Amino acid sequence: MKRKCCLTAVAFSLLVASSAAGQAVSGVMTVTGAEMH
Amino acid sequence: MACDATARLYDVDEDSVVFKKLHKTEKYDQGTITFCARKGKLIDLDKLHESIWATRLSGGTRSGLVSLEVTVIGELVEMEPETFLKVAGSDARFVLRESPEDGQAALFAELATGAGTSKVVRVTGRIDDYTGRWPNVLRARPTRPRRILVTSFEIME
Repeated sequence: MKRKCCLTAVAFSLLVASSAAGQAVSGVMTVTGAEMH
Repeated sequence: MACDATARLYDVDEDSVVFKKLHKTEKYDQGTITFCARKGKLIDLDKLHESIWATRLSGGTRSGLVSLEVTVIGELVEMEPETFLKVAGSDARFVLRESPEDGQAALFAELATGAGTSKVVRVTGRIDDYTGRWPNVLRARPTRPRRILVTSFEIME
């Protein structure tokens, strides 16, 4: 039970960390050369 | 490779990723990779950097990153001498700077007047000092906070 709660907390913290680090809604990357795509 | 690395990101809507060749030159052509965040998500530019780095793009060629243009949404905050954009729903922030192209000075001045008004703005611009050949451009850590050279903006409320 304790382990289950712990895993839930970790999953939740990852979720929060993910949104807190978000920055852009969209982007356009311009690249060049043979490996560009 | 850069296209795959972008599409692999969890926060990127895979269906939005479009690669387009610009056909500017016959050799060492340029192309654009357009991408959008999934609904309700934001794209982490550090993860984008790491994802491209993970493809181990080789050196010794003329391939590289020409520019990265991003659109961000947030609140303008003025902290002399800089104008910042604090991203809505995130801890991230950007330094906003005037783009060196003609006609952008007036646009930036207009944008900066909105600082401190709690208005939400959508800003588009190039990430400053983020260009170069693979893999050197990826080896250098991006500046924090990143600087956006503003090319357009829209006040959302």
